[in-house]
Amino acid sequence: MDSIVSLTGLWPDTAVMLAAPPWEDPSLFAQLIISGIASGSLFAILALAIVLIYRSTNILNFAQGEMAMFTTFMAWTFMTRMDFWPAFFVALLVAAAMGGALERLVLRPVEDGPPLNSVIVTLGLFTIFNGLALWIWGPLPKGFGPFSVFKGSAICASDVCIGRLSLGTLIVALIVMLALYLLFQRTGLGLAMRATAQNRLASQLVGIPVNNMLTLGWALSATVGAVAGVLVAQSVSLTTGTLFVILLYAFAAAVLGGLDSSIGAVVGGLSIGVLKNLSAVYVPPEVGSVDVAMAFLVIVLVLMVRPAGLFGRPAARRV
Amino acid sequence: MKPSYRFWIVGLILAAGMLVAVACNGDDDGDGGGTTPDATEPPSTADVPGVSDTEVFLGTHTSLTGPIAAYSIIPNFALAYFDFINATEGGVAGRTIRYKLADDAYDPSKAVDLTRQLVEQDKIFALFNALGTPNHLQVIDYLQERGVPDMYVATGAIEWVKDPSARPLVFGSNPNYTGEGLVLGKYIADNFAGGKVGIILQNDDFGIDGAAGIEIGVGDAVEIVGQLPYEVTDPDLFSQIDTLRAADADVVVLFSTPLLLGNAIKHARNDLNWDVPFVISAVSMNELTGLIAGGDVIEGTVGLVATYMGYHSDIPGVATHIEILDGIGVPPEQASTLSLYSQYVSELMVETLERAGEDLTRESLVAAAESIRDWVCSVCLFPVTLGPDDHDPGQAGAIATFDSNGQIVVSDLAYSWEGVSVADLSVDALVQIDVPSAALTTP
Repeated sequence: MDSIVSLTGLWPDTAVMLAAPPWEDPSLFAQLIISGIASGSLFAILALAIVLIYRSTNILNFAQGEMAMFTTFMAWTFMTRMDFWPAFFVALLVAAAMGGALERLVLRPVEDGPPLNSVIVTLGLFTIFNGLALWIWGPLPKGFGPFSVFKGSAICASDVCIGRLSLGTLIVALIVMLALYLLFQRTGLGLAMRATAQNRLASQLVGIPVNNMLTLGWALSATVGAVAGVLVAQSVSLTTGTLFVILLYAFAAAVLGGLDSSIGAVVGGLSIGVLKNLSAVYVPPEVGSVDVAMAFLVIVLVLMVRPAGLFGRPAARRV
Repeated sequence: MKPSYRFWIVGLILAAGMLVAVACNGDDDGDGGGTTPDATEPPSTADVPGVSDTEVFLGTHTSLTGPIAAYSIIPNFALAYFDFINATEGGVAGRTIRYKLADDAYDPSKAVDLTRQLVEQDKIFALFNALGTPNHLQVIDYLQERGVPDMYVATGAIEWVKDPSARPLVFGSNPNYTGEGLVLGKYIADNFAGGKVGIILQNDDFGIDGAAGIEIGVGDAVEIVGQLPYEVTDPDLFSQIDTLRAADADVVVLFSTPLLLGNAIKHARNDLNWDVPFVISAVSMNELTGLIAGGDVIEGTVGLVATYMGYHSDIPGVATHIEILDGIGVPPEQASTLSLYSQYVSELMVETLERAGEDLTRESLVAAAESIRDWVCSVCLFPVTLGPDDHDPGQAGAIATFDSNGQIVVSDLAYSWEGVSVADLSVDALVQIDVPSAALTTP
């Protein structure tokens, strides 16, 4: 910690620490990466929900975060009446039902119009869910975990540690990623869902129950969102605003990884988490507090080189 | 269709980023203003905006929704308190108090529009208890220019109180963040002498004012190993905590709002097995933070308080508080330092209106506020003194600690910097004062 830089203008005679470079303090470097992965896995799970809905319905759901928040509040309500696991699974079921119902009742009428219409509807849902949650559960944060599965001291190798909740979140993100990959790439159902998203009319003609596929896409996505919500709320806390910040990063993660790739969503989420942490510490403070800006700058650069994202398949169109 | 999505997602993200940048930039603009108010208009009792024979009309921009919606108990309680005064005492000096809350959702641009509406369309008499530092910075000079009293702003930024001659119509309410930082810094110097302190601060007036006070308070007794800023839009404080752990900090100061603060302490305890003591700003010294972080995680965390706690129900003011809360459907266990703060500041407003009396004008209101000396509200630990050169009511605090249930326990160590202007704050300016013994009972 020798390199002290004074930030003139902001705090006239105050020293602001500039961390030692990675080669001098490798354990800090390693810890920043691990912590970055911890926050990144939260982005990744919500990004998976976004990718799921995009792959199965070809639209972006801006209400994803608020739906997740809403279902997490429901989980909280269930938990006041039962244990964690039953409450969690009931919440997942309710989330699935809610997602499916939303598609049937709210999205269905606009699905045949331009995709922008659906997107606007999801923006509306964003506001509605936020208002509803505020109305039902009020503005006060709720105490939410960490639950016994994630309790206990952190796991450390020499100086570098990871908490049980963070590790659990990472594992869940990987499991969901794998499940989605298998669903879309290895099952007939996944193929049908992809086909529906790609070309609704053609899918209908080959006998795919298009409407059911769309409903299923929303139901699954809401379920993954609910998992994300329960994990985020344990890490941050449960308020009506909790998921909004995470959503912004989740979108960035999904775009970085490629909107149609579940592996991309996870790689994107983890990369953004790590990048954010590293730039917060290693970018000199004279430049300002740039961790977030830096993460997004990298996204823009990646998209300039690979417009479809890191793992996304470029949309080729025959004309 | 596909590529066009990506464009406008990136566009949306960039737009959001720009908004944040503009908002932050706006803070700086707020500093430079310093316009003189229009003092040429003669006072006239007949035609004062927002004042009739039967009613006085107050209003504010505040947060009922949005990222700091948890603070909405402050305006909502104030509303209930004024209703209580209207019902039990018929208001003040024969006038009932009407209080309009305009929800800006912690969005500075909305605060500007809403404040203009309150002043120009609703024609309120005075702003009362505006909430949100970055928001209020956008309207402070507008209110001065319009001659609207800006009573008891609900943040401790020094901008409101540092120079009453430049902005004669604005009054603070919380202990200012630099004074608070000074006391916390002295506490650290006394308890961690020879050690290392790390500071994590919100990168705006809240954090910067606080960190400045910490720095004065610790003096040479403690080495400051890092001052790490974060933005309100950041999702977590992981990198800051990791860095301070690597720097072997013996104590960490957090000038942060409850959500990120809870997240930071949880990261240290649960993710890193790091049991470093935390010293935190009064902004988060409330039961919500205890709830968010969990009692086992927050236990031992230190900060300043200036009111009794909800569990001090033997204190008549607290009993009244619980009664008013009950009237708006809030159970007694949800009485918090936030709702009690609201009662303090509402009582302060009522006191000011009482002193202004029947001939209520904007000038007489300001004069009435400036006449307050050694006044103690019914839930306050310390007296309030104001004056023409002192628009800073709460200049004292007691050291308090979270217990294992997330409740706050008040200690008998308290300091006052009453009457000391922001520019003159120093360790020597602190006076140790007594804490009422009733405040020392534990839950």
